[in-house]
Amino acid sequence: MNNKLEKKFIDLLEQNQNIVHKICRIYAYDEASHKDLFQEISIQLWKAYPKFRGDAKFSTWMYRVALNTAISLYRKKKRSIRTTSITEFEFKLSEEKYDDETEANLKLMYQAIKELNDIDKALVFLYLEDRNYKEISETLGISEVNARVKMNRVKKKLKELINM
Amino acid sequence: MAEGLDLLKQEWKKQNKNLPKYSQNELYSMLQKKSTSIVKWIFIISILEFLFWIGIEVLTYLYDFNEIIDQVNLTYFYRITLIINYVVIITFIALFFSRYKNINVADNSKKLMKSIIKTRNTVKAYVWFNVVIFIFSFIVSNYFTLQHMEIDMEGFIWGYILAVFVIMLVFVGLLLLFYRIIYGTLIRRLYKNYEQLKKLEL
Repeated sequence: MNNKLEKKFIDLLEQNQNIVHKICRIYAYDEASHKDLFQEISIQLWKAYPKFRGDAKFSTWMYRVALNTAISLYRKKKRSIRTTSITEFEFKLSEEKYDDETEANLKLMYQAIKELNDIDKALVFLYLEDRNYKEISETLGISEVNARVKMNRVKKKLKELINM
Repeated sequence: MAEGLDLLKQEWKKQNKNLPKYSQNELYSMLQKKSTSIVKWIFIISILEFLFWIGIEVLTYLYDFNEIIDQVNLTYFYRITLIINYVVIITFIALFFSRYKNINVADNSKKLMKSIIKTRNTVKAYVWFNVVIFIFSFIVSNYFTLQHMEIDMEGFIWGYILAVFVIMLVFVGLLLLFYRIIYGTLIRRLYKNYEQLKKLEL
């Protein structure tokens, strides 16, 4: 592939890398697996890039390829001993200091998300990213109605996990 | 006040500043690394499977069974299975490559999973076809060989049949074990995710 195309792609990837990092935050378990998944997603994006026609927004296309890589293509390395508590690396959402209750709630929610299966994680991720149901359904390949139904179920499941 | 997932959603948007930032150089060096995706592994293993069975084919050819085959009047049977074998192998390889090429990571998740599973199943069907053909020709050639030898020791024949049966059982068992290990670890998660998405649409 030619250098000009590669340069253009790296520019786009650099500008939009937050999307990939956020997916890694949902699917990876520590800093090393975060980097590993990020790398695989970047490779898949680059491999698919020549076919990207530009009829969709780059970011929309990126959501799809990146999530697909995390769900379907990525081969998890043998997990190192997983601690039950989430690390500062995974959780550091904001510079702000939260009050204890909010922080506890956020951590619990984050931890509960980590317990979900791959598909539910994808739904939660797209929800957190404020994608509409049409886009969610198109990304996952399910109907809009089912995306809504499923999302409600996931919310309920999260509530149960937190109250456990 | 927002709670649960909606609380996280509010905070989620604020995290951009705290995310790692890779420089263009870092991104560039990442792109030079090799992919470790399951599609790549499926491709490699599938090619090895094709080569394995083609290898067996070549070996039997090199050993020049023709003489034995002629002796036991199996020429006709042998030729037919050979032709079927070649037609099937070419069809399977063509089908495999066309399905492999159809795997598009920019498809929706369900479609992508389906095309990976379909590609995988092509090779799986090919391997099972080979196993069936292998067992079938094994039985037929043994039957004719025994007939040709005109041995009428009943005990010997039954012992022979039992031995052949056990060998085949071991062979198929090993093959199943191989699949469980290789594809179990490789494709189980994908299959589970696919089933989940499919179940949603029922």
